[in-house]
Amino acid sequence: MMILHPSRGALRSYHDRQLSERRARDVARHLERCARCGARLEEIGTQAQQVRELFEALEVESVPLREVVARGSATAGLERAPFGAWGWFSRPVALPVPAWISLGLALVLFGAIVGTRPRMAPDVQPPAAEGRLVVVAQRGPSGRESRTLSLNEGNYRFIETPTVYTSP
Amino acid sequence: VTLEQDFRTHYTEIFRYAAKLAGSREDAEDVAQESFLRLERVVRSGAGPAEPRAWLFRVATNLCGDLRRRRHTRGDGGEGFETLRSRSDPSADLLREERRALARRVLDRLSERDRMLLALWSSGHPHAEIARIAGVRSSSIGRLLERATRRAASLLNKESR
Repeated sequence: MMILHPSRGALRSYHDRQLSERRARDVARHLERCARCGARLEEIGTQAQQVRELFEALEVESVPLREVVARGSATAGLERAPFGAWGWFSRPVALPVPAWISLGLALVLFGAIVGTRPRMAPDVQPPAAEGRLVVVAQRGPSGRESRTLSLNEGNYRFIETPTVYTSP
Repeated sequence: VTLEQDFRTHYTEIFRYAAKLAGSREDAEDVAQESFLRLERVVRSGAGPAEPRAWLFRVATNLCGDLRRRRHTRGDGGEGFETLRSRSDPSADLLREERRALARRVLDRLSERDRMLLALWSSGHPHAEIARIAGVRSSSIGRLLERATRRAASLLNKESR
């Protein structure tokens, strides 16, 4: 009677419990009566364990996402605003009335100038709302663009002016 | 599933996978970041992958391969992998560093595909998923893994002597 031995690949799949139920049953039945395949399976198991330990040596602790977000924001040149949602706009300011009027006129003038400028390119959007993923593109002193991906989880104000792309 | 969800769900596993292949925590972070940046680009272009997770692993694998080749060209062995665990026990740390260096030497001598297959397997991916990420038939994955494991074990025995 001819005996069909399972291949080493099939034995490996059997070892990793990746065979279908029926195929696994066939292999198990074969292993009950074939010492040669039993020895092969044992060898496969030993080698798999050696490789598992090899990779365990390279394991690193995972980086908590919060840390990623904080680092992403730091490298993107973003800074947590110190005064809540309105940042430094919400600081209490005591100015005389004429100064407030001058400031108002200056703002109106500024608005008129900015209003006549070409609109932003359609793919450039303002910073995302909290919890949205943002890609922050910045040009360094050498002129090279660096891009960082970050979850916008806090209240940030820009200390430089990067281009922020929000994810769709 | 949005890109944010993909980022939250898969960042850590991509980072851990890249750490096994890249050789340093900083490189792993760069690889993970770049993988998601590329995903963001293809999603924006409207050509988002059907299986973002498999896609991310493939991109991370390629980026680690590029990194390894660049390092090889520069003659930099990628030493100095930062140990992230406690340094309260110097002898345990020394032993860990030795094991890490041995692992790096073995991995450096494996082919790129073997490294990828074994890194994915050691990360707990089922065979069908490894096949999808590696772009091979799932019926071949047992054989490919067995051969890769045998080669790695043989190198390990040689290096340990």
